[in-house]
Amino acid sequence: MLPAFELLTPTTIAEACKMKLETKGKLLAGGTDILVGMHGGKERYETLIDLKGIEELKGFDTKDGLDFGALTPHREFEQSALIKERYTALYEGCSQVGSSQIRIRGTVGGNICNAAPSADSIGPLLVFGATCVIAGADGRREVPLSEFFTGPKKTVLGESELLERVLVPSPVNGSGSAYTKYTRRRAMDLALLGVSCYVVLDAKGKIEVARIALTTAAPTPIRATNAEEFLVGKTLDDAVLGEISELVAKQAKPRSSWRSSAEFRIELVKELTVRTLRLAEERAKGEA
Amino acid sequence: MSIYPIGECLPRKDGRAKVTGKSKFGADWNVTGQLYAAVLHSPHGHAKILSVDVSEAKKLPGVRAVLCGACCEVLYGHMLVDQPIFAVNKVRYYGEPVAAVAADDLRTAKEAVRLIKVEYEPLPLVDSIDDALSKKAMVHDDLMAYQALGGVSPVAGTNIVDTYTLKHGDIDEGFKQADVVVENEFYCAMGQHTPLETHVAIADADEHGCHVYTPAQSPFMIRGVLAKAFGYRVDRVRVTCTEIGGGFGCKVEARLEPIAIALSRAARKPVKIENDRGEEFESALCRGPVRFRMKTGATKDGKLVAQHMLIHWDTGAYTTFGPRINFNAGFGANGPYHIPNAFVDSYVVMTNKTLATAYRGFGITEVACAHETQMEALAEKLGMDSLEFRLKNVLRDGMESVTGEIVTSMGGAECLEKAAEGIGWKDKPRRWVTEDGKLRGKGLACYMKLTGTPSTTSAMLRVNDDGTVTLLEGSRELGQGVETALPQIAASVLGMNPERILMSPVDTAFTPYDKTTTASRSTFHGGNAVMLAAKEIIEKLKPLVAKKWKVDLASIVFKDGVFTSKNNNTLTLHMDDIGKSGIMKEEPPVLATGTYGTKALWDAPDKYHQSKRPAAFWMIGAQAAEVEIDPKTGTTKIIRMGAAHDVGKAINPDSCRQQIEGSLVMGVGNAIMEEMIYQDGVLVNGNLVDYKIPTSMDADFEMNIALVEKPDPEGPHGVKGIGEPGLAPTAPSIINAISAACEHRFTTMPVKPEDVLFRGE
Amino acid sequence: MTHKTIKATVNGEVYERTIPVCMTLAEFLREELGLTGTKIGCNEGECGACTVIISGKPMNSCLVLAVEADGAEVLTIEGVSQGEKLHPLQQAFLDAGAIQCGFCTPGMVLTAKALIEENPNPTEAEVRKGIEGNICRCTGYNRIIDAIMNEAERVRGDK
Repeated sequence: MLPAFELLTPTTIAEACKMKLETKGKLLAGGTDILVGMHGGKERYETLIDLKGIEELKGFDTKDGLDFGALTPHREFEQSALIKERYTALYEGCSQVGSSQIRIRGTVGGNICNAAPSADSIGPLLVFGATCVIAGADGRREVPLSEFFTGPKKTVLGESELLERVLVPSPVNGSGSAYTKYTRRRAMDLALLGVSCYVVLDAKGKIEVARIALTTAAPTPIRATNAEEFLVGKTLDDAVLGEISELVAKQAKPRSSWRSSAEFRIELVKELTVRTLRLAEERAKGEA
Repeated sequence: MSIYPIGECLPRKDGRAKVTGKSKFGADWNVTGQLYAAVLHSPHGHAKILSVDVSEAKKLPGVRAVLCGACCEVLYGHMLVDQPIFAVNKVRYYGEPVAAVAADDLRTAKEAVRLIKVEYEPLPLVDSIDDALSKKAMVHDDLMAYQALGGVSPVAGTNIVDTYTLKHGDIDEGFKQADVVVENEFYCAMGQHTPLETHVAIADADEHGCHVYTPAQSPFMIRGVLAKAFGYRVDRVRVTCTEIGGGFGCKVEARLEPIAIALSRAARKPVKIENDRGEEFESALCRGPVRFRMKTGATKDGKLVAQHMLIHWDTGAYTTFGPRINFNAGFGANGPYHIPNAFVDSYVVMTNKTLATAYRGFGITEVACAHETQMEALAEKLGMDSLEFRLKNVLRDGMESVTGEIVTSMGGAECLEKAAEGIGWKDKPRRWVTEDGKLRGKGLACYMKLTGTPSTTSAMLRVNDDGTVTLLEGSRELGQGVETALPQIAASVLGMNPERILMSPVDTAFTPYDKTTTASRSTFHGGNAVMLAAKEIIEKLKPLVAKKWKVDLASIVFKDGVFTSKNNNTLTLHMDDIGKSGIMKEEPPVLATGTYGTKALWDAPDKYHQSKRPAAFWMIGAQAAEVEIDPKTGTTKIIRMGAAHDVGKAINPDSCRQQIEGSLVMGVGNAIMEEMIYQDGVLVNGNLVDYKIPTSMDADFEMNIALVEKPDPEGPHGVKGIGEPGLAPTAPSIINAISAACEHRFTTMPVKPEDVLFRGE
Repeated sequence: MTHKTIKATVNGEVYERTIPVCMTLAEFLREELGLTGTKIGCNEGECGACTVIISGKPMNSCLVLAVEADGAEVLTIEGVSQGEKLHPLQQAFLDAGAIQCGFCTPGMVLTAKALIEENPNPTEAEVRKGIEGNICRCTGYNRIIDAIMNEAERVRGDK
């Protein structure tokens, strides 16, 4: 049972920003995080601002990169052949969120704004170099996704602001991506660790660009920049992968909790980064 | 020889209502004028209650009653009367009800609960079995002060609420004969039944009596507990059973019913109370943790000679059915083996955790973990194949078991062979490495379980005016198919179309007594009672047939559902045509009862739990598992499982298989996923994402199931039980397979990926 | 606003009600309309027992506000059978032995129905993944998957 609240239903972004500023209300998209927290009585809000009536926040466009509205449900990416082919890691992330019922309701924008360290869509978007378009009472601004999170469950969104769209550059030819989600259960679970990789190979099969993102490996999703730099100009042989697993392990800052020990997560970071990189590389070569 | 419809896979009778959404489960019931209840739960594991202030809650419009321990000092319990409805003076577990509100609607009730102010002073936490044994703090000041209802033996001045000792032969002599001895520990974590339906109850009560609507597994037991707690005459407690959305043992005990009755009496209106999922985890019932220390010896040719088991069950903050688990599991603690010298030394301790109760087998999964890891360890030490080792020691007809009984109808050997066959045991090494570097291993486990004895049940059959038959019997349909199996048994005697026999809903107001729907006892006990009643129905119909035909009663013969007359072979009447025949018109109604109890066949166990017949029947079965381990991530994948259980006689083979299939998947959860985790006395994973029960994706493995039929001479058509058994060997067989794959003996349930990755560290 | 008047079509019938905005669709169906076939197992979107089909899509009705049903078409288990006759999918559940306690069954049937309507030619793996959000504690799932595969086959006209 949800504690009582007032519901506001804006139909434009401007209206929503004004409502948020005036009421300090909580923005509601798919509700697959917010309503869950409210049911148990853990979270209570006096005002919910349901964004689902705002048409501008819906839909995605792939003409020049990927430009999607914050209200795009995970299911739309899961079912898009183009996303699966071109933004494979994003497809893999979105298709492993919760269940089909959750993916139909839950939105990628909501996943980002909820800012959980385990969010499945964030790692893939980080390696694709996504940018957030934020709308507020004072206009728009763009913030790289890598700078969007200020802590667990915390973002840069100001008191009138909402996430409007996300812009994802088009992966170049010769690139490949992959997302690996490690869970205790094979569905309906949160990532104990998520690894996202994006690589671009040159004509000789050497790595030109590498991006690695880790989720649930630190208080916020992070990029393993030291490993990324090390990879440039290399091929993924065993020696290089051995170095990589040590480098990512150094950058990861998991904590021990009842879900798992930090040591276990570190072992997973090492192994799954290697596996995910290999898979991304195979895809870049068109082998997988 | 087969008797129709025994052995037929008839469709389940409750299927249509369930698939159309018409079945009324607990929460689907409402009573006119009902109020809604909400409960304030303890945020501490162990704390003194300094004060409870309900004044603000009472002022909220729509609130009709507010209760706390100080205003409702009722104690209840099934074995030891130690449980308050609301905590009095101190709280003993996180989630314990401290106060409750009844209001016009649920939202008001929940808001009112937020207005109740309680001051606590935390007390030292009894957090583990060792804490309990060390007496670092006492969960109850004086266990001896509580009324004991039987089957429970608290130890004064301790946190031990029950002890059990089984002694067979001479354990010291036995170990002297042993060439090899293995000693191990095993620990089973706390788990939960997690039926999809949470606990719910509606009560309409006053000081004279009460009417409770509840998805109860044991309506008559709950009736007795409620009558005793509130001082009601038993006949003035009416328990109306709703459909049950899964039980597995957790709906055996009175849980929300006492709260609903107390609130209803205070508010003078019916009250409905329903656990949300968080409350269900924190304050319903669970499978308590247990620790085993095992020592087992065998000769060098592989014969078991001695086994010692030291067991500590953690039943949580109140006694509940802990002692019954101790008792039942104690008998099964040595497995289905011939062991000349055995000793079981077992205790139930109390801790500041939520309450443990029966979990699909009364501790048999856990004891199977203990004795089956021992069997693997011994076989390994002896250099024997573990199937061969088990076959060498498994109980066979005419042998003496550790309980002092000469056993008969033992299907153990056949179950072991068939379970092993289910994964191709003989064609596979104990472990191997796949081409892609994964570790494969195979494991085996078996168990032996008694049914609760003595126990009784009664059934009534009523022939309706159209010749259909209504069966009144107290067994609860939990999904196991009893509503289909018992009519099949009735039909087998009556010779009629089983579609024309329906079970009545269960209500203590009119259903004849049945002890409980637990211990896989329903088809056996209910079936026997139904057969007796059915035979009497035939005898009662004979005079009516004779009257109609105007022939001598002595000439009426009944065979295969048809009445005939020896005097006139043109006269025949089939049971299915009884209604049309008009023989019952304006005659006294045709109804009959059958009662069945096992007190007479039972030999009360002595203080060392030796008995010529401790149980009406035994259940035996075995399972084999093949697993694949990812050595770099610790992940376990179940590849295939073979299961074979001695069901005595499968009344409805499809129902039997369904019980085993469901148990296999539940057992995968037990083996590698499920664990209730407490930190500083607080449950941290009380939701359906963090407490991980298997999804469809986790059930993706091959199942090869065999039903072994070694008829029980006492069972109706030879029946034994199959509701619980499928679960018992699942987790131990998987854990044994993981151990084989990893060449490391795992000693916990569950085995988590982290345990696999950091094994031996 | 704290209350709203909505007009929802549930199982083909139009209902107009004034309800609090904090009411979930599951509560609306069960308490306002008496359609108790929709079960609440967790109220957190983690069990799937409350699944209903809203405008063609399966959703956890515990995570949908009832006001969102304004103008929408909702199908619950009570609307699946065709009058007295069971829907073939329901029959497939019965035939496969896919039901035990029955508490997950309504949500499971609706998830399956939406799945087959979206993809009448699913592989077993797709069906398995399709019902990942519907927890069943009794059956072990395989018979449920068989039932859905059988019904999909029937829909395609293969059988």
